[in-house]
Amino acid sequence: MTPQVRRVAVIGGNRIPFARSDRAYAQASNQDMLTAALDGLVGRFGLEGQRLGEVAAGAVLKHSRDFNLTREAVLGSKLAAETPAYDVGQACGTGLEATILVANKIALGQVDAGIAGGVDTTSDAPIALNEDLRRTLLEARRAKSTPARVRVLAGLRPTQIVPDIPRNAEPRTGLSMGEHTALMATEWDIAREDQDELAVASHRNLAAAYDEDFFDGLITPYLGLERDQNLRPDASLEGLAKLKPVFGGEDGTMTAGNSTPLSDGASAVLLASEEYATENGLPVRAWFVDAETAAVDYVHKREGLLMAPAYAVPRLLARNGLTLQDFDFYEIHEAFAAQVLCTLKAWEDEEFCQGRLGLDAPLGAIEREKLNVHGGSLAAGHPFAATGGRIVAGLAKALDERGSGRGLISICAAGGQGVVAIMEKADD
Amino acid sequence: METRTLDSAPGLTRLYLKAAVPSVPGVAALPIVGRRAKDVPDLELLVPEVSVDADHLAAFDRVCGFSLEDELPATYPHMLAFPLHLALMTDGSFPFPPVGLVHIRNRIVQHRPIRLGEELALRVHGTKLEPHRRGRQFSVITEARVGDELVWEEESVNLHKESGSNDAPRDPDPPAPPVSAEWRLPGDLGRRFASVSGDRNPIHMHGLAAKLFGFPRAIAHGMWAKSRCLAALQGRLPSAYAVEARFRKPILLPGKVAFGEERDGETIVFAVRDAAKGTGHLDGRVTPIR
Repeated sequence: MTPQVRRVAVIGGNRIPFARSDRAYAQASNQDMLTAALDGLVGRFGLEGQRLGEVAAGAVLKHSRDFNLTREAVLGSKLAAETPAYDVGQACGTGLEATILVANKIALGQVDAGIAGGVDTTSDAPIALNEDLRRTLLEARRAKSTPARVRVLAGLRPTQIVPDIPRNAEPRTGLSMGEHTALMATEWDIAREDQDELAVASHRNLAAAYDEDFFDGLITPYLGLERDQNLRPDASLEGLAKLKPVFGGEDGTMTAGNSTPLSDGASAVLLASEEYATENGLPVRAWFVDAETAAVDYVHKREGLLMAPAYAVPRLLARNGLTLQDFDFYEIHEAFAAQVLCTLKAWEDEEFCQGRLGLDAPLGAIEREKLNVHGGSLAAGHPFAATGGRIVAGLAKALDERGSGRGLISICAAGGQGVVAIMEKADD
Repeated sequence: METRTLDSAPGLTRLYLKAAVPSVPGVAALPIVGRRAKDVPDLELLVPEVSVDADHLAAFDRVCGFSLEDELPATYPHMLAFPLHLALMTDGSFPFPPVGLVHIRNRIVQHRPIRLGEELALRVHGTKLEPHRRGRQFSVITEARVGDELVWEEESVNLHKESGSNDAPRDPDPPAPPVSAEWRLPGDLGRRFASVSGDRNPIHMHGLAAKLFGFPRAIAHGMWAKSRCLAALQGRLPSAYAVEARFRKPILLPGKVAFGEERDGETIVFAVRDAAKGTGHLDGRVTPIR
């Protein structure tokens, strides 16, 4: 059988409001939150008891006991238990990568409908055994006799009970993501005021979107939270200017205000073939057109850790015969305001576009009024793997409301990776 | 040159006792210790068959940051040869006790990767003393063969600091390549590396012991630092190469250091600096050979 490529419809999405770390969702696990996001989606589209082609989701911070996190969430949800599921992991690109995987299976006719999602908690974070203790216990398990086992365990020392708490650092560089971004901000000469301005716009846009009821049909309240807890509708340049730098030393430009906070939350997106949507009376909000993933060598070649989307987008544009200006919405994940501004500046930079991207001319500037029009991660918060689903569902609704148009998604991820995608609403 | 063939690498505990006795104040004057020779002896130590224990290799890889492979890291044969180095330096004919010697330079040539499971013949000898502006230096030369094929060699340069010359200025640190990583080094790193390398020189083991030898805290092994640098470059190393490291100021534990690397044609230049002050700990380069 030769597979035919089918169009992939984004039917809709659901997420729980994102909470600040150790606040509203302090007691909720990844599985709890992912199940809640799935059930909200199931309720919204009447999927109770239905068997879907698959559910793909993931979490960045995940305990080893959650090896089958997504499957367990499906078993706990109102979906038919016969719905298969698997975990995906690509750091902060997880949610969008999961969307790409499900979309590709739909495009190839392997499944007709599926859910992509993601969840993360920094409150209920996995804490690992001290590495020495872990190795000693494993060695004791391998020992062949009781005396041998006792000998191994007798080697335990009090320092070995101190647990390992995950640290937000790149394993190969020892630098945190914020420190890496501070290096990028210096390289690209990104001003503090510009970063603060982007943060203010993010809060302003998110607040306006709530006021316009944009999130009706996208968010289901959870544990008493109805809006993203990080949102500050009154965020101002004056207020942000008072914050001390947290990355890049005393002269740094990055603060807690223009960097995403640690947060908890989950999201899910329903994707389907055109036929499935028609047969089941489901709306097609937008089409998931194409996607591209890139990675950069931040270890040996000193490219910026979060610059990979700058490489992925031109490859995606070229494949689709588009220019950077052919979009009505730009959804650039605001991991840090500086990341967004470095990316935009790089696309306008002749040397970067020719030297590093191998293009004849720069991609050029975008109309800033089209950027993150319903708020971004700086305002909403960023539960790592849940961000992709938030963006895909939000962009689908924005395109649907507009009636036609095209949107670009760009998400940076740890390990020097970037996941980008194009979504469309045809005029037909 | 006299060649002494050993069935296996000598036990380290006995050698350490031998190494430690002369450094106890006053003991050197006792007749049991014997008079020291004036120069490094014409003595070659040979172990015809050394095999690698996979668990030991895994422990070494873990503490240095290498991923576990079937090919040995270029610094690993140094672990196999270390007991021979110590045996040479604790031999009655050696001019001074090994405790307190400073490892100032190390050059390793990997002619081809050595695979786990290959039996190595190791030969070790010392070179004659040469003047150094802070004392006198000599090298320990090690060769590893598989059958007749020379697969690996090492020159390990040691300084014996001598009175009157301790204040001579060090070479200025060369410009370091841009920082690409920061490493947080735990306080017990010396003990961890000692347990796999067998190098239990007290300056690496504990702050109090290090103080006796004039260091404010315990210091990291030079060969650990060199190994950690190679691990950071793993995957980018040619299959035949020379890797040279100059050890500068010791790395005090615990501590935070910055690693930098840069390509200069075919050569990879690397350095370890203090993360805060930028003082030099190590300068090295990897050069491919054909």
